[in-house]
Amino acid sequence: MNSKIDFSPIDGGQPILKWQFDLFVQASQKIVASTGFESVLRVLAETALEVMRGTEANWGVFDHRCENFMEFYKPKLGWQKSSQIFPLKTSMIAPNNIPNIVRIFEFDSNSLGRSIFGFIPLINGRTEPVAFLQVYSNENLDLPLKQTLPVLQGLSDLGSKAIQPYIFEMDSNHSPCFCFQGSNQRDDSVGSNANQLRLLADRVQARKVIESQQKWLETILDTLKVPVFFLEPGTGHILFSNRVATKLGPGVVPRDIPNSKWSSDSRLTDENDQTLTLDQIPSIRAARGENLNGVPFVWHTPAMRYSFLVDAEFLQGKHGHPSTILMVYRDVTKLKEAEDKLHAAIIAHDEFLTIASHQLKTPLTPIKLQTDNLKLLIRAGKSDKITPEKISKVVDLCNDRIIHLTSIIEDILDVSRITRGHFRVNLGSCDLAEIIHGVVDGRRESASRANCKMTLDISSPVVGNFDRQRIEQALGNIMTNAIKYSPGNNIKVTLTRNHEIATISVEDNGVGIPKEDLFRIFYRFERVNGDQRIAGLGLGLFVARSIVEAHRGKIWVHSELKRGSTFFIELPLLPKLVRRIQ
Amino acid sequence: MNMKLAKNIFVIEDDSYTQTSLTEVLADQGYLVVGAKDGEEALALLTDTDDESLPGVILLDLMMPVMDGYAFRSAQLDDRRLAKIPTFLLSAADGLVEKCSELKMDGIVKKPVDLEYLLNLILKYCT
Repeated sequence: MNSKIDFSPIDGGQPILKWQFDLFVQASQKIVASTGFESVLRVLAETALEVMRGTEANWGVFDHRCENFMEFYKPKLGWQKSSQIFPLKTSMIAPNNIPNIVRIFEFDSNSLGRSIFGFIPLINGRTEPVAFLQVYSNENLDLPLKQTLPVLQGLSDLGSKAIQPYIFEMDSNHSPCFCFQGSNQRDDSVGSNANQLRLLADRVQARKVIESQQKWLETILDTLKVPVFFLEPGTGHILFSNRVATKLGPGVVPRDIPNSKWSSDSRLTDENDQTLTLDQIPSIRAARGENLNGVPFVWHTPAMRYSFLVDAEFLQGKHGHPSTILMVYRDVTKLKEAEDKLHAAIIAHDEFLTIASHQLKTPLTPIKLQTDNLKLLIRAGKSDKITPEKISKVVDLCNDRIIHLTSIIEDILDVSRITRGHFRVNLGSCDLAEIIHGVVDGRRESASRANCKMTLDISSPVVGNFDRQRIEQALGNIMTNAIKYSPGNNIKVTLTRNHEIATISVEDNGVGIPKEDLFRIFYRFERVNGDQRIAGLGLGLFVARSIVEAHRGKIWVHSELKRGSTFFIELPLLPKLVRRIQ
Repeated sequence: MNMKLAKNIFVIEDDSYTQTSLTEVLADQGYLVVGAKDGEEALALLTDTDDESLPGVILLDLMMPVMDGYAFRSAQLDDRRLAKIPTFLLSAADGLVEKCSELKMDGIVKKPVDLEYLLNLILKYCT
């Protein structure tokens, strides 16, 4: 039940009667099912009036919208004489935020020779409070209207400076019901009923100001992109969460339940993936009054994980506001992701440098061995062993290895150019068939060393606009991979033409590529199979892809593990626009 | 594979240029070199070799297809007959000292290879 009514008397007032209590219970139960003040009011009024008609009691139900209420109920209740209904603008008591209190006050009107008692139970409706007022004299609780009228009139006179009673007639046998409206005229005499009421009205006014400030603050907080919460100290109930906070994560942040009881599919951990115990959860620590400064935690939801830093501070109650805990989440998910990516990039670069240095040292080894050998033979006086044939062989080998070294260095430089967007292709008319023959011939030596048999399926020239050197490079890289990953197997290169599109395929029956790696291999520093045992920089396919894409072509691969791979390059014969590779 | 290996040098290395050069150069310096292009081939050769024909020194590369240097070394150490052959790391990789001790090897030959250093090492173990 949202609204609770406390019927115990305060300030020495009289306890509410049983039937009145029952009435309010009945009424307030209906409040729960209601959606707004007006409907609450109607429910209450209807209930109250039904009871009133069946008893000797007198009831009035009013609020600052009393006018509407009157209009609404007038015909129902048979109040035809509008002159009997004073125009109400604001209610004396009504809009108040003092929940759960029955305020009892006494009109001690000596001038009239009798006392009038009134009690005003204040009920917090869902959106606004409801005020009831019943007034009766100490002489005759069941005061007929005719007798009461002068009393009321006197009361009205008394209160005219501060309060304005509104009286309406139910019927001649029943006491009237009425309510009071705060007046602008002031009676400052201390202790006067009018003053009491005015003070109450002032409080109501002050509360309205606070409410308006609160609304303003909430509007501002709602515009913030940072999740902000106000927690109730101790329980951790969320009293307020701004828009971002409410929509945080996969669902809506629960309100009205202690944060220790939040249940969800998600899991809270620290940065090292250790599940947080209840005592470690930042919002629970905050609810206990602990000031938090950038406490990290990770929220694992079925959809994704969020990284937060939490700040929290206990705000003492001031200016009519209760003590609150201000808690702010700093969403560092993207920052964390960027950090992780950066970390991965640094690791990839480190690994690249290690592999690169290894790759550069490998072709240097035979060169160094051969030159050292010549030096040692000369030093040992065995120059006769250095025959012209031997020199020629050594020179050939060194030359071959230097060309290989140069191509590795070129690959590294190309990657740098591609990354910086400085990679261009220079188109010229050339025949793809001729290019393929050249590339295959250039790899016969390494293919034979790897016991690979190379076959070509090219029927006719395919002439188009290409950067000859770059296409040779792209195809060369694919061929090198094919030889590297399928030693002792066959490699078949095919060239076909379909209208204005040429397709080259390089098929091997080597080790193949796992499915999960198929998309990865065309990216920088990624190596087929991620296999550290097979030498390679992980740049060849990235460079090949960049070259093909610069020709407005496509590159892809079909592969089956342990069965082999087929790489396809599709090139338009006349690429219309060659863009810079980003 | 009934090859007889003399007290010679056994090079396990996938880079055929390095393999060829080591064979040629060490031949010029008076040694006989037998090579294998990966750990598997090397194990097969060594298993088929009589005790007296086992090599005096093994030079072992780490990064190789099929069976890499780590796997070969592990298999070698499991075979009492082969475990006692002095084995050297032949590599361009990083952190060779740690790898050498981790693999319980007898020493390191860094790539690019300094021939004089290699010859001194062989001399020490092959006499």
